[in-house]
Amino acid sequence: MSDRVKVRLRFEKYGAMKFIGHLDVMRYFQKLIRRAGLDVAYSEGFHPHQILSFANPLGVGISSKGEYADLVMESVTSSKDMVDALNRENVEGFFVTDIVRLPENAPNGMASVDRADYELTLSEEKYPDVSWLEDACKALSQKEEVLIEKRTKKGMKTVDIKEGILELRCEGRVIFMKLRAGSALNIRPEQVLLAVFAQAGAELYPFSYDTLRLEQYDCDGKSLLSAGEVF
Amino acid sequence: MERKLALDDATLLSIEQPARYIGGEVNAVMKDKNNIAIRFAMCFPDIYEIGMSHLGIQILYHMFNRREDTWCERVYSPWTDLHSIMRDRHIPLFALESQDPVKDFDFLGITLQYEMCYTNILQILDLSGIPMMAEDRKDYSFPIVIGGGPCTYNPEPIASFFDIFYIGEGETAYDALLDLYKECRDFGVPRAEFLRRAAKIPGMYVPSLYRVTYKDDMTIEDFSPIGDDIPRVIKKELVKDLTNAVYPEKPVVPFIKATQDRVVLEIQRGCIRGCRFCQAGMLYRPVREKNVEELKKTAVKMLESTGHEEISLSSLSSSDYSQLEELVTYLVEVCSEKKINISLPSLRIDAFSLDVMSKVQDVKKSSLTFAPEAGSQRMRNVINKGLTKDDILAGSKLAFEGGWNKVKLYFMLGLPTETEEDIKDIAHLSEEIAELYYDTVPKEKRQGKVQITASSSFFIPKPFTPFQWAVMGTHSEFAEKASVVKAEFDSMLNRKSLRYIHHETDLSELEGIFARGDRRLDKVLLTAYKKGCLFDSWSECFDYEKWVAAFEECGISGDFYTTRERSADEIFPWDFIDIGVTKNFLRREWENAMAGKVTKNCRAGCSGCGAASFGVGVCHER
Ligand code: SF4
Repeated sequence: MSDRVKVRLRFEKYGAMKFIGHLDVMRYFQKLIRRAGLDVAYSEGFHPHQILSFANPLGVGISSKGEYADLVMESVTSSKDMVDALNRENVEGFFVTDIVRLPENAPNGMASVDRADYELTLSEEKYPDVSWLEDACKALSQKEEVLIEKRTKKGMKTVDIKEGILELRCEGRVIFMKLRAGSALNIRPEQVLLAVFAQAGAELYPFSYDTLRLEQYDCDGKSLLSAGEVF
Repeated sequence: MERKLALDDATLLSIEQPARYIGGEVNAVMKDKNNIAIRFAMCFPDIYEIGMSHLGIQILYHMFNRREDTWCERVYSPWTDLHSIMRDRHIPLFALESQDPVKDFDFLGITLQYEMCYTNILQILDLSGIPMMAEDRKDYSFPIVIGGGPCTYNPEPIASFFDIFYIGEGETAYDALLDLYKECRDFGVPRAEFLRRAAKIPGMYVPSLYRVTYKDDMTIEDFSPIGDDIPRVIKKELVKDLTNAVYPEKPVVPFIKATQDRVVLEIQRGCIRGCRFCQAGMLYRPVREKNVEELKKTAVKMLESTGHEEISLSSLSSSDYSQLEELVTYLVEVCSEKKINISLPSLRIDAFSLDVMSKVQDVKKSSLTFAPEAGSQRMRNVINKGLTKDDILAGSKLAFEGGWNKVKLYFMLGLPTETEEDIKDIAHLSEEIAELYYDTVPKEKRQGKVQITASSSFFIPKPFTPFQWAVMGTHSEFAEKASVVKAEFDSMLNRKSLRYIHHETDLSELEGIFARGDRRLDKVLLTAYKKGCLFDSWSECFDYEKWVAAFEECGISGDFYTTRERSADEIFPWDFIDIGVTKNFLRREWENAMAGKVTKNCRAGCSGCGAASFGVGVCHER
């Protein structure tokens, strides 16, 4: 057992694949890893499964350039070999960019992830004029508190998400956000976007923008990829 | 280039399971449509998760796409949420691969797996913008609508909606049809003439070229082709060499969990058993086996090309496959190495199958399955079910000793000649198995109670079975029978170890009507669809009241098709089809049933059913 190797994959999810939900992405990867013929490790028991975990589920409808999965291998070849083997079997819309080897004691991605970058692009058709957007973003970043309505089990609740917004800026119709992510505090980009619109007194239409997750980081602000090394 | 989806983001994000409609799966076939002569839309008229699980579609998809001039794509029924959106916004139904409208295809092939999908066929045509009645499709601006699959063995209730039915196994005659189509279309031969010519290809039934007349008692007087050159009888197509027949080594792998989320390996076609209620058992005669060495290779290739973590065997009765031990032993070995699960079909319970089962599944969690189909031996003789009480008890005893404590039993209610005693025996048999458990397994070794689950469905007489002459029970008779069985279960000593469940009665009645229905039912289907009937096999959608209203509006009595006594010489709507098994044989079997006489299975002794005429399979084994 001890010579098993932990690796971390970074992958992109785009195009029609943004409609594939998290559970199905996991199933997709299990089959992908089998097709690619990687020497992956399995759990014991009647129904052995791959020891595979994802850092942070991505909502349906969102694309990403920085998704992470950790995988335990019986043996490895090289990063490049494995990336190529996976991409040969990938369908359009999934693309593995990197594989690194993690130190034995490294915490998994789910435990490490602390923040994530997003890029939101507003639809031209729905919002012909966005000249107000930059000011709204600036104003919101300077506020002491950012209150949003949140649905909880006990009904609607007002919460302050200020501490979860690490960066917020905008260029034209593209908004960049760095938000806290993971189990401690998880802010969704649409929550912030709603606050931006509320700030400007503008109405946010349903399905009127694209969301792209760019990258995910640990609590030191280092990319999740930097926890390991190319081999 | 990125594929452009037919539905916009807003639509996809506001419906259930958008992945049903985006295509792009592993092994989905993409082609350059500019180099394609024939576009074939292959439809399974139910939701994606069900349709994607169907082996037949995967076979044909693979077969069509081997042709360079043809691109076959898939279509499934939009679920009710998308159905309303497409209707309201006039979004035409599209195929998954290209996302192009189905209406622009050359062929729309619809597989007919069960009667209760008939309104879904109308939905497919309707959403595609294709006229529902074949007679309204006059030129090549609409696809040729062709049906295949088990329900084509009585296609009459839906005959008005189809241009062609392909009778028999799909692997054999499609090339001839596609070649003919290409020639006719390219040389400007009118659609009607193409259909006339198609009718002469073996296996092709063009319903518009046949005329039916009826007697005063509503039964068929005459069923004849229009024109001397159109065949009077259509013989089913049959694959002669199953081992070398086309098989999808790279089946499409869905993103979302389909009903069959695994590799399916077909090991043989047909069944030697001859149960008298079973349509598949007659339709696919004679039994043809696949070579075991080829199967081993295919299994490995399919596992590699899909990445599936499970494999299952497909056939009507796997235990009768002559090389089963060798195949299963091989699979167990390969799969344990590759960490792949094997899901075993319901095998005959004996030392071998229990040994295999204990290797591939958790005994404590899995259950044994028996399908006695009837409670009493008398009744089992009538239906020619070879399984005896001794077989069941012996198998159960072995299993209980091996640690199993769950048993599932399948039965039917409403079989011909059935008495109250026969159905009460369902409870008695279950009770005996429970007793056997407590006698066999000492207290200290028991893992709680034994759990016996008996479930019953209602018998529906089907065409091309010895029971095609049978009277089907009514709705209230079914309900009555189920309550008798239930009461009997409740009076058993071991009732705490027994569970009894039974199927819906309304749905069975409707299935019975369409199974042996005729052309006059087309207007009932149209009416029911207009009233909103859709996804009838889904209990959350099925609306019995609407169906009752549709029958009433059309002035048609369902009882004519179900509860009526049929005479020996009645012409059935499906008599123009020759499945190899003769009507004489079926009638003989009906008489044997009435006399309670058992007929041997094909390997124990040929009973001359007629299927030997194909010149292959079990009939010609030594
Ligand atoms: S001809 Fe005989 S062996 Fe062949 S299928 Fe019929 S009964 Fe079986």
